Amino acid sequence: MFLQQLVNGLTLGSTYSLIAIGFTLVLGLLQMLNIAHGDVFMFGAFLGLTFATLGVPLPLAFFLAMLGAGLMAILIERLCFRPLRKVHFLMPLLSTIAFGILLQNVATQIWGSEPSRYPQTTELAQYQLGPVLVSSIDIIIIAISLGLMVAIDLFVMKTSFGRAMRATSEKPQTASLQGVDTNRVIIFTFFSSGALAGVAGVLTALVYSQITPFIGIRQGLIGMVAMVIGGIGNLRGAMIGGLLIGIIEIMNDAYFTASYRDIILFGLFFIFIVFRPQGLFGTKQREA
Amino acid sequence: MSVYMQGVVALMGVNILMALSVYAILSTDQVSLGNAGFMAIGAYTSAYLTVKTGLAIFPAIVIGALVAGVMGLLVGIPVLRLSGLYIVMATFAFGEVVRTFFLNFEPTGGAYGFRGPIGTTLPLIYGWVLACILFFGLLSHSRLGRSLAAVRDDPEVASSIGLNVKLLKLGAFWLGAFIAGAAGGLYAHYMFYIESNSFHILVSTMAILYVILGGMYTFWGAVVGAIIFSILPETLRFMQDWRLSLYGAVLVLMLIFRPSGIITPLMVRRVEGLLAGIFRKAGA
Amino acid sequence: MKKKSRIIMLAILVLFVSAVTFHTASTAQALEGKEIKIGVAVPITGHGANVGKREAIGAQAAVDVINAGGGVGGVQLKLYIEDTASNPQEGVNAVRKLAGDHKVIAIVGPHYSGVGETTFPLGNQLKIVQVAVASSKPGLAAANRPYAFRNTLTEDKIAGAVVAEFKKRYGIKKVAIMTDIKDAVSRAVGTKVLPPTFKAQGIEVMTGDKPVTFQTNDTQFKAQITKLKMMNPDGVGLGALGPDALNIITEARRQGMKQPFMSTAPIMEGEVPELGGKAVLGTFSGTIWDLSLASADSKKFIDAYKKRAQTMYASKFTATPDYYPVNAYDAVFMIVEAIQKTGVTNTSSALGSDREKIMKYFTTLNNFKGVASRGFNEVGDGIKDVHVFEIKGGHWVPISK
Repeated sequence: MFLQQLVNGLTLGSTYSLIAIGFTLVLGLLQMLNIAHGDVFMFGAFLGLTFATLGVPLPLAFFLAMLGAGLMAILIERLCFRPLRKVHFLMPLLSTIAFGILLQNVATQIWGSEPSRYPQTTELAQYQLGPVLVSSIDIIIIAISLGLMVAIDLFVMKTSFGRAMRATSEKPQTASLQGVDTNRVIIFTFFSSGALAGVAGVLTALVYSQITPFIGIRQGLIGMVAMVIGGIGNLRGAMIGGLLIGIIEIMNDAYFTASYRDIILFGLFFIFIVFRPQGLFGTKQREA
Repeated sequence: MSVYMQGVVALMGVNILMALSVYAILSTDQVSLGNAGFMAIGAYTSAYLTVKTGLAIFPAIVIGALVAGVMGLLVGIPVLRLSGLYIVMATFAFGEVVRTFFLNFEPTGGAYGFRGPIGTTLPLIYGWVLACILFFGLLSHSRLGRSLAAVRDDPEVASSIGLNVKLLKLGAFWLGAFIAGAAGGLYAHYMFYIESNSFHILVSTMAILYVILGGMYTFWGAVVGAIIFSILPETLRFMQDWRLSLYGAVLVLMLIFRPSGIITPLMVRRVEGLLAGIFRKAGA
Repeated sequence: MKKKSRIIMLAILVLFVSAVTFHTASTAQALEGKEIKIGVAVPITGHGANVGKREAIGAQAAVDVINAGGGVGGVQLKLYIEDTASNPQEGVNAVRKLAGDHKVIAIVGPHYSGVGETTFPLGNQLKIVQVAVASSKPGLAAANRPYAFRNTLTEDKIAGAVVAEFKKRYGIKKVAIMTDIKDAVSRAVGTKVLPPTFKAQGIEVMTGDKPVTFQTNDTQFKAQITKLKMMNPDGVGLGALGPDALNIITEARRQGMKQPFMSTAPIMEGEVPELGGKAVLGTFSGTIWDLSLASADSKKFIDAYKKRAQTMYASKFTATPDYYPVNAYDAVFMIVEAIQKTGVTNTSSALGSDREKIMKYFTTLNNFKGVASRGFNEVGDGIKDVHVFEIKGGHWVPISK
């Protein structure tokens, strides 16, 4: 059973990784926390649902949801970050919390408070690989998540725009002196973080569960924990953090009880923040 | 006062205390997103005492607040080494750990909640509120108050002139936790029932919002912010199912258009000057 | 910036003033006019918004029927609806507003045991009856006598009937239990209600006192199903809400589990049969009313409901009634019967004694002829018939007796 649970953990963890990456992109870039990130995840999931029920073929619905979520993230940047960045670091944080409330309630008005489900099938191909049972959907999730993570990693490390992103994140003042269009970098970063969250939303809803306007709250929280454990500002850290959290959660449910889950997760969160704020893979933070 | 207004005013009093608890910690430049955790500790402790041991409500609330204060110190110590956003995340994690703890702690009901605490009255709530306002008022004109302001504005300069920055920061945490614990005790005995969900992250968040929107540089900001934004959702009842959406929108807009908050230090000084002038004329 | 901030200040001042005057105005309205005022405290916003709106429509449908027949003693009924926002704090505010400002004679609501935990004691303090439309946490009404009533059935009564049919159909000898540990009702079902019910009917509970656990709204159940599968029970008992049950059973089929599932009333919502397809066929549950029940009273309710739903909170989420609005509909009729049979005067000076009369009537009401309600038992919980259902052909179909 252990191996099976490990695979379960990896599948769950990949969606967490996508959310964590979104958090860390914005946090690493602007030293700001976007609390509404989880709600962008929710928004992406609902967009995908709306397009799918309208009869749009699934891959296109996927893509449109990704686009919509990215745009929502840009809206958040416009309303919550841009006007408030220079005032006090707390303002954008609070504004995103308020925006989250707004988004959740508007979503309730549009899609209702009761769970909605994607049109889906339970006939899935199951593959028995030794002692482990893997479904075709698990493979899709891991493939898409991994693919996106590799793509982002390559983009940030190898392209010139990626270099601009890293420059803005490490030394914001000098970056603009070096000719980097920081505004464009910021908009693009937000868009990517939102798009990734949107993908995670569609994957989660499509495969596993029903969605309500309130699922973003918990998913966002877990993404944050994954980000911290992996290392703030560190992309690969966020990926590994997400996978780790997924495995921890599954193992806890398998061998203990779901009651302990949050104590373990948030306890770890507290311990890391206080005693190892750079997480597993990050570098020691510079003074804020 | 109608039964309904009594209820709104009672909860408003609790919110004022929660806002002041955030303000106390914020006045040393630490942002606590976990005050709901201190509130929960105060609530469960005092409720347990009154329901299971028959202790009177006032001492029970005080004990609850003291226990919360101790937790405040325990949290404040490791947080000393952090700054800015990390303090936010650490305190937020703390709040969630407390909430989950009470979700599973059987002696206080676990997932089924804790029934039975009664006895909060408007005079009791506003007695605490007035005591806190008096305290902060005296503090702001005292040497200690100026030391705290120094710690917030420039901790390096503060320690160079001999202030024990760490002690002041810890003290602020203790004070914030104490006030939040008292708020929790009052809340429990007003609502007749508490469960872990009563202390979720939104409670901590709203407390911070009251302070920021009211004006975070004076304690009056916390008070006014709590008053206005406790009443706001009630006035929006006519919006029916768009009520909470509008509430969120108002918050976002307020932050954009008036991020410094409603009450500014200049305002407070002007009002104080005005009042002093009136009293002088009356005395003359 | 200065001008903008002045405008904001002005706006806030206006809101503040309107808050004070708004409530004064509504109080003035409520005292005039000859009408019988009934309050409804249900969630119109928050995560219970959809079901709360349906309950409000159900109550209004009852008022429509009664008023069309000439009202009560020639006096028309009027409903006052206040939003509990799915949380206890707003619930308390809503009850206070209804009792204190609108001065209603009784309250239909609240929804959610968590809200009832705080509004019931308040109702005892204010001496006004509340008839909850959804609340199955064990012992809640019992702890709040005499003014708390719940027009719902507690889960243990439903479980007994469902388990009996479940055992009969599938020859169950050993069962595993999987339960939510966060939602109070589901947790009670999974840990306090199902185990003794199974044991009392001679079925072995393989999970003992350590059921397989999950949290409400979890997005996946792989770990739990892997564990369940390994135990190989004859059937699975669930302590879960509808949406979670749907996902649990779907995941079970995906992992190759063929055992049948059962639970109590909560899984009758969330459209489990419609969305679950083949996976959920043969699942058992039970509740007090379903759209498929075709009695004359049911038809009258359904017609009145559908008509009202076109003009009140109209949306696709409120168009079709389920058992929650039935509870609200019956509650209004119960209040009206109490008014008729206890000489309620409906004068503002006698409000206190009027409210008390309703409480006294409900305390002994056990032969009411409602769509799905018979009255209340000695602790204030509802007396209703239990209907056992199974999922067949994309719907909940009653088990024929």
